[in-house]
Amino acid sequence: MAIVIQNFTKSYGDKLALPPFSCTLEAGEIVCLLGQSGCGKTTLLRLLLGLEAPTGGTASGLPDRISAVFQEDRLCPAFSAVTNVSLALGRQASRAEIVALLTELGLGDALTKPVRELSGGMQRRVAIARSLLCPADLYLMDEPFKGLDEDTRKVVMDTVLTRTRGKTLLLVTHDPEEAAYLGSRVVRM
Amino acid sequence: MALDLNLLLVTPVEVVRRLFTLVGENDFWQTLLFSFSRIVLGFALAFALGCLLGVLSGKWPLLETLLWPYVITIKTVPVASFIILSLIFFSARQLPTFISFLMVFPVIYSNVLEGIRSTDRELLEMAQVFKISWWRRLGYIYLPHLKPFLFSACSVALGMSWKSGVAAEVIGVASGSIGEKLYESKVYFITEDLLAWTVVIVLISVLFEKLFLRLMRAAFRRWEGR
Repeated sequence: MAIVIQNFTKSYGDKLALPPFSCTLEAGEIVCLLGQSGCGKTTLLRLLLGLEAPTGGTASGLPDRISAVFQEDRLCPAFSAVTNVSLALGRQASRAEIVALLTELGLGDALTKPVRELSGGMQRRVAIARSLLCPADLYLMDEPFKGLDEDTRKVVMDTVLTRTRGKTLLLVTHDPEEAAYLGSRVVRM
Repeated sequence: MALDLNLLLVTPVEVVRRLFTLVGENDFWQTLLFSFSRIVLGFALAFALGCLLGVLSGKWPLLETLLWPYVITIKTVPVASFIILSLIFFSARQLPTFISFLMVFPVIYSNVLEGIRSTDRELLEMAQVFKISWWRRLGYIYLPHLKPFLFSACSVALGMSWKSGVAAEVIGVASGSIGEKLYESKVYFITEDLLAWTVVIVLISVLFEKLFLRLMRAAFRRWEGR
């Protein structure tokens, strides 16, 4: 089922955070949102996640199960990568599945370390793994590949493509090459 | 006129000597156990209830509003007033537990509530998006954030529980307590006893604080190492 966003807008007092935005996301489609900083990409994702109410407009066809990679990693710093991922999943994924995906993302040696001891790029991959293992029909990712080196980025992008196949993926990026690699439709804001 | 200076001031050597004599006496350990058990019980009850109500007040602001008059009263009314007032309702032997509880509870409660309130909004949003249950939020998001608040609160409250508990024993003259010994040393003007028992209180208070904080640190390490 397509997700139809019509004239979605958000303002804080006089400040317009998201100018009226309309877009249709077909089921199973990959869409990359491109735009300058401050144009409202993150705000749009927050509205779709239900973290804030829009000032105007509607979004229909939003599924119940939505997973996300936030602009920040949003990990519990004292706990390990495995614990962070399993915390979000409850009993929906086994430890073996979590370990397998984290290892695939190059975190095999850092499974049990507190995430605060991991590098920025490693923490980013933990956040991506958490999102990918969460069963969802819509994946919202806010600059998911930032802070990753070139080789790692390719591996992670391939994993994202494989794991979200058949699901709708809305991804925020500043990098047109990234959008091209993902073979996605580009929406400029 | 000759004046025995030992009545007013005793040397540290005499205090230490008296301390060693006390340790060898039969009722020293009984007295210590009497006060320790009652004061620590008061602290433990206040710790448990302060944590529970602090967390619940963070979740339901109405509870915080209901508890606010009580908390502000305890914080401002002198402990001596509470002790004398409580003697109407409690026996002198129960008094240290109640007073220790009364003084510690607001410290733990306020710190836990402050910790809950200042928990990282971004992590709470993450929990909302991934539909993490409240119990799991408590264990994995709130509890690690509460750690510094709990350590700071306990560090203050442990000393406070001993000071208020012993004050209650002195004013209530609880039979068989450290407070009674302090009271007797004041009545009979035995300054070396007064100072020796004061040293005992300081030592036991510091040792218990170190032990409790170490146990709490170990418990956190164990939980976070999962």
